[in-house]
Amino acid sequence: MAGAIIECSGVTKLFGDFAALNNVSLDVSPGTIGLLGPNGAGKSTLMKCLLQLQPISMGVAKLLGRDVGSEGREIRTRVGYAPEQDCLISGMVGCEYVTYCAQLNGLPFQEARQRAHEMLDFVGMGQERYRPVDTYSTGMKQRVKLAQAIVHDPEMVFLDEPTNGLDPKGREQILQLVESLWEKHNISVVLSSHLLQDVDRICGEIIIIARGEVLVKDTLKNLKGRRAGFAELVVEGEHQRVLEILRANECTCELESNGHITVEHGRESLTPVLKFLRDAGVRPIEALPSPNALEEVFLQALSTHGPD
Amino acid sequence: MSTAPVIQATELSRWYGIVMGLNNISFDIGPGLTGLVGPNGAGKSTLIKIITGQLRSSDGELTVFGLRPWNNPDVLREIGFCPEDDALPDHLRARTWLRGLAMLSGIAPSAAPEHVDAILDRVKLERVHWEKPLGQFSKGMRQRVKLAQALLHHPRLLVLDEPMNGLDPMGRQEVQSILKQLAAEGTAVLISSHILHELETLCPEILILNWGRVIASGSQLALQRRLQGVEANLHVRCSDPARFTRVLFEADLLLGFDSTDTADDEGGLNLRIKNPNRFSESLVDLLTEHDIALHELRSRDRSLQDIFEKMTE
Amino acid sequence: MALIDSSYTHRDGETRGINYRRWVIAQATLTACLKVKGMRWVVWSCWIYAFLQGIFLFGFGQLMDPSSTVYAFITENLGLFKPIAPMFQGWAEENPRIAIGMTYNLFFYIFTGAIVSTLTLSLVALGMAIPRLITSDLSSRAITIYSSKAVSRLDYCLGKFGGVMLLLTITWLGPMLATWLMGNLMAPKISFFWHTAPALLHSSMFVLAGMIFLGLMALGVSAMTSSPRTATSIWVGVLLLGVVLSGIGLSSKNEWLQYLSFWFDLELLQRWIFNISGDFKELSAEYPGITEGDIFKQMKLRLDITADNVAVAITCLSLLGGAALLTLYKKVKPE
Repeated sequence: MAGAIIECSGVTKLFGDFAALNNVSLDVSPGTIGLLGPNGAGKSTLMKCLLQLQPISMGVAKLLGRDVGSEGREIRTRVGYAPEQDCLISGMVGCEYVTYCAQLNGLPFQEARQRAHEMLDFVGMGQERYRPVDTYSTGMKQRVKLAQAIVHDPEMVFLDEPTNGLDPKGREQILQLVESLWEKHNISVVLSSHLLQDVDRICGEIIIIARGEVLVKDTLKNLKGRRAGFAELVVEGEHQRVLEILRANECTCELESNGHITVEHGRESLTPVLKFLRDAGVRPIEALPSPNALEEVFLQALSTHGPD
Repeated sequence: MSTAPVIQATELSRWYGIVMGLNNISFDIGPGLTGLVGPNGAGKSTLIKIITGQLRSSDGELTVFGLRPWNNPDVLREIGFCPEDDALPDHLRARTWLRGLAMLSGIAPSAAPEHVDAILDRVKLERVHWEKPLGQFSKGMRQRVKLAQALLHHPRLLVLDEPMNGLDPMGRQEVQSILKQLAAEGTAVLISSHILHELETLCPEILILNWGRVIASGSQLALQRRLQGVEANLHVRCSDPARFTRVLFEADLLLGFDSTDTADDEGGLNLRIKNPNRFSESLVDLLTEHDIALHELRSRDRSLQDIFEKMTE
Repeated sequence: MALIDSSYTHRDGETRGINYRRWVIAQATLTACLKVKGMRWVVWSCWIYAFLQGIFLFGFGQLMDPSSTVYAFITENLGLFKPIAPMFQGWAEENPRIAIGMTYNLFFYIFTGAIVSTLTLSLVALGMAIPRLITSDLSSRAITIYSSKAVSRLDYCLGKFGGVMLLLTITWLGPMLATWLMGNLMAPKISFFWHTAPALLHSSMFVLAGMIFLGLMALGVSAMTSSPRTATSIWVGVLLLGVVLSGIGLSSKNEWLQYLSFWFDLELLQRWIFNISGDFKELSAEYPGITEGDIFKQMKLRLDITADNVAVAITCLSLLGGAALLTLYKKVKPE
């Protein structure tokens, strides 16, 4: 293993009396990491503390094996960050901005210019790159933000809500790009998002933060494993009859508002479930294992730790 | 549809000089929850502005409860609007601002405080924040205030532009349940959003716009049926993918497949199925006969995302 | 989607050090400043002004050489100056330290600090540049981006300061040097350089000190607000306040008020550096008659300063600079 990309021990961040991060200890290996939590839970604060955008009040944090307090600046040549809010420099055109960002990370001008254009190609920006950034739409801004985060070929990137405000196609494209960063190019991704679906799709590892504390840190596969034995069935019509059949076969089940049926069947495979349904004359269109596992785990984690 | 449409557009167009906003569209929106979907620049904002009376149509007609909203206070009184941008007065307190708005919309000053408190409870804004200035509110709290603002005068039609933007997963669930409740009480709700999987569970009815035209409208079920073809695209996870594909091929059900077998997606397969009906009839028999454990059976052309992608291709 | 997948490549080039990154910020700052509408006109004006001064000094230099065209032109065509030129030439032969060195020193004293000078134009340039220095980064949250790159807050400020220095170099220091060079170009004797060197030294010292101070002030003002208009207004306000304070101080009994005006402080600093009163003393020792006139007496009174005066002025300037630094420290933060 290449060693942990993030190591925190006892990291605390105070704003006055309020602890935005409370004694956070973490060890994160390279990969795609999803950072989840309610509003104001400390996700962004954690990212900012790791990037030294905000000083850590107590504790030690390391990125890529080096202490952020003493070597923060040099570490950041190997780290990328796309913040949630707009952060473009007004008056510059797109490619100028990305070039400048590359130079700020120490790339010589010639190479910065070349890579800026390559990255803009990579994120799917066309001729818009020659327009002033002030005129960009949300989609273009998100793309440019991603481009400037990877232009210096970092070993890891922090992406704060990278799909916010995008239309479905734009979201899909950005998600594909982010997915490819780790899968194809070996760049670790730390992603924060309110859309559990995005995280579900991209991330191999999940960290759930609330009230400044890490509640859950596990691989998505394990988390989903916790919800094994649950499934969601999609049938057309005759919901009540299906519920009766399921109950007759000792399954706990429930009709959701969207007409899907969640069922706790407690079995390894769905084949027996489909079999007894078929025997009763029901053929589900879809059968999805541990549906919304992430959402369930998320809500569960928050509720067991209490809302306040 | 049994009831009269809430919003009805007939040959509606809107042009900004030479720029197209909406091009000759006709549709009906009934009561209940309706999702408004489309890429950026599809004309969603234009449509919302026309519905809420902020814009006039260039051609054709749009009616809400049978009347034109433009310059018509009688209709506007029935419409609640929750805009996407959050232009809230930062220095005012949530309660003060809403009380002021309540009185503006014709609620007696004596009744306003109680009324506002009830609405704030309804949108689940925690009571500790009620007396704080709006400038200190987080994005999620601002969304709730915006929603409260739209509900003040008990509208019969609620129009929301990206109402869940910036909310965390719990907030999203809460807002969704509020909207469902409103719909159950008889309010017509029109939601514009980019988050398709949320609309999918929330809105039975969908209106898809693209390039200023309506490319689909109606119930999700009807849209799914319309897209059902002679072949079906499925995603399957099972204990023995190689064997499963062979079995399907031998049964003359398979048109094509590719393996998506990775650590995250163990035993994953994308299948193109030739005869969907026969497939669903014989699936269980094939599985039991060859002792294959099925872990997942997911359609790849039924979700709103799939529909949207097909329609806007 | 093949287009998207293919284009990412890893790099393995060198990564330049921190001074390069600071320099990049300075360059970008200068570029942004020069993009301001009208800025190019101000810069051109500075150089045209310098050119005019240079021509004047060039003419002055040619007076020392009876064989030059300028000398011939003046003696032949300008009746009024006819007697002066040879007289002056003789004087310069006899006592170049005073005739050339002291005159040059006085010229540059005026050039670098007069009411209409490249200093004034530089202040205008700074006023125009201020919204683009830090203000725009505050309003667009670009500071977050800088801080997430391999530059710290200090590096950012150093870079921005470098940018302002570059701007002032092309509006103030550069034109000043050009003036001096033009004055010495085709000088009749090599000793001319030697005698005018003190003037150059004094000017450079004063201009550099002034640049550092004004640069800090401009950055401080720029960091005070995220609204471009407010930033410009504050700058104009600071300039006007300086004028008003020194005016009140001069006319009322409370002369100490003048020290609160940075104009006054800069002027004191300038007098001290150029040491004009020292020059006068030397002049009156050599030519006791000249300095008896009323004009000289008045000028001497005004130009006489004590070390204490200068110390107070420098302290006041340092305090203002410190305030600017404090503003930077407080305001230049991500979020």
